[in-house]
Amino acid sequence: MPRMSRRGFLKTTCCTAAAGVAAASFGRLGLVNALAQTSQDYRALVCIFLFGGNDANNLIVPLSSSDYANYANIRGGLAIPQGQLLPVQPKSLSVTYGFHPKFVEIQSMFNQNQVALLANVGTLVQPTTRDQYLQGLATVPQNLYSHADQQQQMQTATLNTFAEVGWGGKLADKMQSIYGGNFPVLISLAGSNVFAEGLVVRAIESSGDPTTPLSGFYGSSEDNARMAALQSLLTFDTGLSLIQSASTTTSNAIQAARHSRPLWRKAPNCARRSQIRISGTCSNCPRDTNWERPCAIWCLAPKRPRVSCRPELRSM
Amino acid sequence: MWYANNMRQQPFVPTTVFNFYPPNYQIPGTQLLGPEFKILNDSTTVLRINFVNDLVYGSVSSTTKTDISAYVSAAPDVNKLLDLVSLNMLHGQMSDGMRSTLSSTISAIADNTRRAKSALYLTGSSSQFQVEH
Repeated sequence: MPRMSRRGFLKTTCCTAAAGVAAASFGRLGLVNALAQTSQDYRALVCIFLFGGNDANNLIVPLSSSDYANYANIRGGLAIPQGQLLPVQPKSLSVTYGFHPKFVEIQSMFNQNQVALLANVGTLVQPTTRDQYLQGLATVPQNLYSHADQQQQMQTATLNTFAEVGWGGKLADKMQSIYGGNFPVLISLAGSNVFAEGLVVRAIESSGDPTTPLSGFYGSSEDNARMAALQSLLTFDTGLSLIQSASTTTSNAIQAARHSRPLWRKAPNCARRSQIRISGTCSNCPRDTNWERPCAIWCLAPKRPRVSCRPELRSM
Repeated sequence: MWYANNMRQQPFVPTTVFNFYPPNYQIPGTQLLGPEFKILNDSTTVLRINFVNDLVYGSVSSTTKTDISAYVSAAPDVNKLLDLVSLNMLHGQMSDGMRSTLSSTISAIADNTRRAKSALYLTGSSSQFQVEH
């Protein structure tokens, strides 16, 4: 049997979700796992936003004598010795640069054309020169120099006003029709953030493990009745938007946790300096009956995301 | 502290200098501002309910005990129990639908302590209790 395409999978498996009905037997994360395991063309875009926490000036440093001298002069005691930097030759430039000494693998990936750097990225309403800025001749982003506002603008791509939806959420709104229903196009492991918010789509937004189940239910008839009552209360139309919204979030969360496998966990066994693993499929692992859970582990950094099948991960 | 941290409101430890949540947070899918909803997400909502579970069915610390004796005393009469819960937790505003659901769930339980706990858990975990209105 040929492997299913993403569309084929969703058409046949998620018809309840496509009908806009909660896919109760799957749970929202279960939909993602199921998709990852059955489709050949599964891809995920992973976004990491450091809120400006990266010391970019020491991540990539110009290596030519005059540029390095300039850098060393400006950075003073923070400058990395020239000999410790890991040299790379960008194809688009004639000058060489050096990565931070800890970025051995990034250097290797760069040389394999698997890493690209976008330098000097920031928000601007229009092309602006220093003189134009100083003379007040250019429109600049709202509340420029307020880090909270600029972080917001990086996530919303809206610079002249306060925006409530992010570009991730906007993408999800456009993509949702491919998946249908309650499929979580976006999964945030950084809690609620404006990047993930759209007008239509509710992301799975988690500030911990989104598969944490409700505790205190052990399967007795009393427990089952209490769970049914809890879920029933969440469906009440109270006519009050705030209550409805809280109920929607809770319903989605319970649904996310049900029948789901761990989405991520800390990675003590991971050889890389990674903190995150995302479960998914493991297409090139040999079949092994010991695998009860997805074993695809993506080490997000600094190694290229890849499937890992090391034996110690099989018990996951 | 552990619970507060779980629910993203550890005292004196807001995540930013702008405190725990921004005043201009708009609830997705609505035109409403709901600052507190910024930290209500798929994990914190479950952890909050699990906090209620620990408070009612377990314990939250070795030195903190929940006194539910008044509810247990009222429990033989489910209506009386729900009146008390509604008065103390919902300003006496428990809706008919909620009352009906709780009543049928609790009436099926024989033990008075478990009746009281069930009423407190279900009300404490509800959005009607969570959102002050």
